Amino acid sequence: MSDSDDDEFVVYGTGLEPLDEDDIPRKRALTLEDQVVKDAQGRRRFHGAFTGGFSAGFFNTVGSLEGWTPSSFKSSRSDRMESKTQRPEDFMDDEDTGEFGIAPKVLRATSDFSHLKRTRERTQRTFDGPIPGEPVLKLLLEPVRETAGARLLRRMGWRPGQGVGPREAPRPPRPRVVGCAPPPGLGGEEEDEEEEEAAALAAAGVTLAPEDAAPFLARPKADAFGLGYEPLARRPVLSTGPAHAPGPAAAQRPRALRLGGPRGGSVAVTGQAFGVGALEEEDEDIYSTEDMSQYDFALGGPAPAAASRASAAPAQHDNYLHNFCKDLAAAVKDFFPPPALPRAFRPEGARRRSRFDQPGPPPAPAQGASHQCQAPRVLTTDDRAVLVGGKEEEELEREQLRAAALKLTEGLQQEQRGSKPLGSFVPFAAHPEKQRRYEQYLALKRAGQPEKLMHLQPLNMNEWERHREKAEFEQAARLFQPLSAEMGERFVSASQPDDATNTMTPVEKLMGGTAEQQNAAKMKMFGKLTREEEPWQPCDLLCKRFNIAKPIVSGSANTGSRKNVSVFDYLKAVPQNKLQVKTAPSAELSAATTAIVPSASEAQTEPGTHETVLKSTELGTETEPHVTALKSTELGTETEPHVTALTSTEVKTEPELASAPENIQPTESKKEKTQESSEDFFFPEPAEKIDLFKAIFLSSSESEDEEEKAKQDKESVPVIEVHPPVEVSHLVASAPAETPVISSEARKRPPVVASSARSGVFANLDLDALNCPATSTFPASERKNSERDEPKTSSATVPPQDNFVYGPRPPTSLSSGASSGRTLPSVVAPTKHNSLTSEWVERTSLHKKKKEKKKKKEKKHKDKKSKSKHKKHKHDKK
Amino acid sequence: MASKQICGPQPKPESINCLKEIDCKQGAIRAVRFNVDGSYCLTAGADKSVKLWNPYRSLLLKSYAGHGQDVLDVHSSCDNSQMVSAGADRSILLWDVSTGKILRRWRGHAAAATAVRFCETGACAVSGGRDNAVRVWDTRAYGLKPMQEINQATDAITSVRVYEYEILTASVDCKVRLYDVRVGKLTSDIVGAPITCANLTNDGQGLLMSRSDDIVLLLCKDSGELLAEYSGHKSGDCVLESCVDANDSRVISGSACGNIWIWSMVEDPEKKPIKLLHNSAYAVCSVAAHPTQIGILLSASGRTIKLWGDGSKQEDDL
Repeated sequence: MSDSDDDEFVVYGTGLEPLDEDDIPRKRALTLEDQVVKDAQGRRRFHGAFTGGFSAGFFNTVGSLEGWTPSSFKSSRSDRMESKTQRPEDFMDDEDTGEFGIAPKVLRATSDFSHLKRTRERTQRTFDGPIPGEPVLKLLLEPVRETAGARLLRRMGWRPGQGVGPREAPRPPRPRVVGCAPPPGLGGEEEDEEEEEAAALAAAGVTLAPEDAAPFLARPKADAFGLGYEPLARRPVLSTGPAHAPGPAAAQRPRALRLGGPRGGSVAVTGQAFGVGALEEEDEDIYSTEDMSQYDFALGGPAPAAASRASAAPAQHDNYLHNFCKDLAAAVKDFFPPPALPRAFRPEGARRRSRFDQPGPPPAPAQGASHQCQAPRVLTTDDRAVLVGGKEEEELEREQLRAAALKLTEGLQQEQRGSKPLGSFVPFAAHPEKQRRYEQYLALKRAGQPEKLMHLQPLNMNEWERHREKAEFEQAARLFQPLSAEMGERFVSASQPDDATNTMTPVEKLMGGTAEQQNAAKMKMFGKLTREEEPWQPCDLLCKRFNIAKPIVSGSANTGSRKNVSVFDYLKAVPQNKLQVKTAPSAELSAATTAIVPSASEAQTEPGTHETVLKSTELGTETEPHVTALKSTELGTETEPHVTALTSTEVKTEPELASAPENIQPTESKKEKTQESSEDFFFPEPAEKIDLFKAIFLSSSESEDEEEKAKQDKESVPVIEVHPPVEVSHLVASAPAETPVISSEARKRPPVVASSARSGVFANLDLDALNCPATSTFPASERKNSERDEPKTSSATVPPQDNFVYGPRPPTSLSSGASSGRTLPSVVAPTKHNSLTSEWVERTSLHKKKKEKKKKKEKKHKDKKSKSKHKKHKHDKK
Repeated sequence: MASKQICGPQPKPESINCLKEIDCKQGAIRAVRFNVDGSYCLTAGADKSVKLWNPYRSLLLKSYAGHGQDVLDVHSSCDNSQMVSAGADRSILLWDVSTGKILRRWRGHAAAATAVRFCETGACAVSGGRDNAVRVWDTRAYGLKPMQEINQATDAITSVRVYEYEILTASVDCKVRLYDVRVGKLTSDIVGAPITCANLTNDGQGLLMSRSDDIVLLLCKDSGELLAEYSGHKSGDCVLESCVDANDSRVISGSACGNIWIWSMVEDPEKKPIKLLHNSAYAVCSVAAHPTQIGILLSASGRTIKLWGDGSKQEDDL
């Protein structure tokens, strides 16, 4: 290269240093170890994090070994120390002031000139000065820093101030105003001019760029008013809105209400005069939004501007982007709302179903729920049977289930009886049916399916009773399990007796499962036959440890975790137990009542209608001797101390029994027997515990009262509801001796079933028609009873016939005679009857009285209890 | 189930031979187990001890003493930090592998505990015993009571396996029970003879079980149908173990005659099962297949364990 060449070229920038011939560039890339970051002084800046992060040396120490030294102050008369102000730079390294330091000393636009404005300046955006808007000088000085997007847009033909999008025809003129003309102050002429101009442009084929989308400006809230509230403000008309809010906010704001004339002095009032309370609903803004724009000026509502635009330039719109077209599918997006869940829906994990699964029974609770939804009153199966006259599918299904459950229990029960000595334990001895069910329950529990007990329970038990009985069984099974049984749970008894003498005899190998399964396994037909699936509930913690959600297992019995047995658990079920014993008398007891009642009817020699007998049972023990006996036989199965006290009352009434002692005696002895037997089986503990419980929490008299009341209710309710007197009289007419039996049955039945389901003799009767008059037509025609009651129950007379018979009351003797006089000699005298009706008492008050009486009696007899027991024994011996 | 990486080509079965024989010096070996990656093994001995070995170099690494009677099963956790052992002294022990300390001693079984496993995370251990009970223990808690008691079995539990969401137990009452923790379902298969060992195959589809009447069965896990059965060995009165190869190609079982039997999983009438003699004097009661490498086996018989493998492999590779 010659000098002349150099002169000809303009050199721009610094040239590269000529390469050294010796310094051959290395072919191998730098190894990782050699790639070290160094600073300007050639010192290593970064060190391995594991070697401490920094090396000894004087990095970050003001570039000196000593580091930063405090300045000394030395001043004398000759040379004064100048007051030195310290600057931040005094404490900085050279690197800090370098290009990449924290205070670089390079030439660059300060923040005043930079594009990004500081937050400080944002507040003062209003420029006070003669020229409105931003100062031109400032705009000029501002460096041009555009974003890449803006630069791209510019290249595509965009200009600042325009909107983005295809060019459009000028805005079509507004629809002509139909109706009243706008007020003169609104400037209609200007608009007209604009419209004309636009129309002319559109006719000339001129297209305009779309309007710029106004940027959203967040307006800082400077006042202390509520959100959205604008106070009244007076402004000159020229100012279109508050100065601090230009742009869309002003456009959205309702137009100002102009006051004053068209020339000068006009004032616009904006804002709301009053706020809206928190609890009020904002009504139409009557002050500020009154505007013609709120009215429709054309028929058919406001014309959609977008539609007209689209029709104006469809071609442009479609070809907005080359090779792209609008996705029509995306525009039409169907939205399917989630289905409404039924109210009884319970989120439960869907059970995995195999195709080999047997079609199981339909979910019972859901069915019940649907029934409830459809009909206000749930028909029982008996109802349905009466209505349809045949078995329904449901019933058949239930029978199948029942049969299956029975089949399951049979084998197990036999096994149990054979092997288990503790089968001799009978907690429900008084009720063979219940005991049988209990045994079945035990068998089912053993099989791991205690929930199948439901199928074995009789139909006339309602859901609640079933649950109750099940709970009771559970209780009994837990309570009355001897230790050996508990141990027995852990082990399986040997299938064959161990030969103690010869230990070397080989033990026969066990074959698990049923015979069918064994056969299948033997024939190597593994699969459906040999597989069993059952729900199994893993415990919470296990699921947690396995890191999965706890599965919702329906109907699993083995929850894994043991329940904490509380003392109070024992107390819970025992009262129920008692109640059950009371309500459902055993067969032999009912037999006993049949034995008694003929005597009763004989003794009474009166219109012995059904209700009278029942009535007497209701009305306490002391009134009628035979009824007392009945009651005592009923209660004889219990072991409660207060009940024995009750029975002792009967001893007191014994002298009155003289009329028919031979009838009662055998029942007495029977009762004694049952009592003894039941005492053998019962644990004494529950009663004691109850006593303890009572001693602590309740006064004994109260609880007894309650029990009595419950009992009374139980007995009385069915009597009223079920047996209309006509029917009863009919029965009495045909077979008077049978009536008590029916009555006892009726007492056994729960009220719901009794009222709705009629079977047997009652099946063909239209009881509903008879029911309404029945409750009151029939007067209680017991006189002896009432006579005895006279001193105690003489208040609040309720004449029974007043309800529906108008006019003079027909003589009661007639009605009674019509009903019962055919078979039984009617001895009812009208006068007597009147006296009787006058002594009727409301039921509730009667109960109360009775309770009080009882209380008294018990108090009396508490000390006599032991004596009465002795007496009873004597009685037996006789 | 975690998919296991299968390394190396499958060796010809003929080439399997004994690489190492270790006399463990801890009485009869009740169980031999690989650790999670197959680099170490654990032996449970009749002298109440558990030993940790490097079987490839016949190296005894540590001995753990603490049981009161024979140790019947041992298993190490996936992170190799802990192990559990089940003893005839009715206790389950949780060990710290490195220090050899006993972290927990659970006494929940009423009879000898025969089998124990960690779950995949090591957060719980599942054990079974001759008291017909399966117990789930919480290794993180300090409680001494089991987390859950599983009492469906009516006879002794012979083996317990824990997979990702399933617990598989084999029992002498002829039933294999698969507890699905995720679904909350118990699936029990009646097999017709007492079962001494039950495994799932590595793909989680098959249910391999050793029956005490000299048959190893392979059932389909989903349907319970019979897929294959393998026979030829004698089980006698021994509780024999069986297992599958790392790639589910072969079924391995011990026998009462001291042989190791290896069948190819897909039944092939032409291929005869391989018989490897361990020790004719004692039964091979425990076998373990390498969790990742094919052809590496461990067997325990009498007082010794043997490492079997492809002769072509170098010791360093293992």
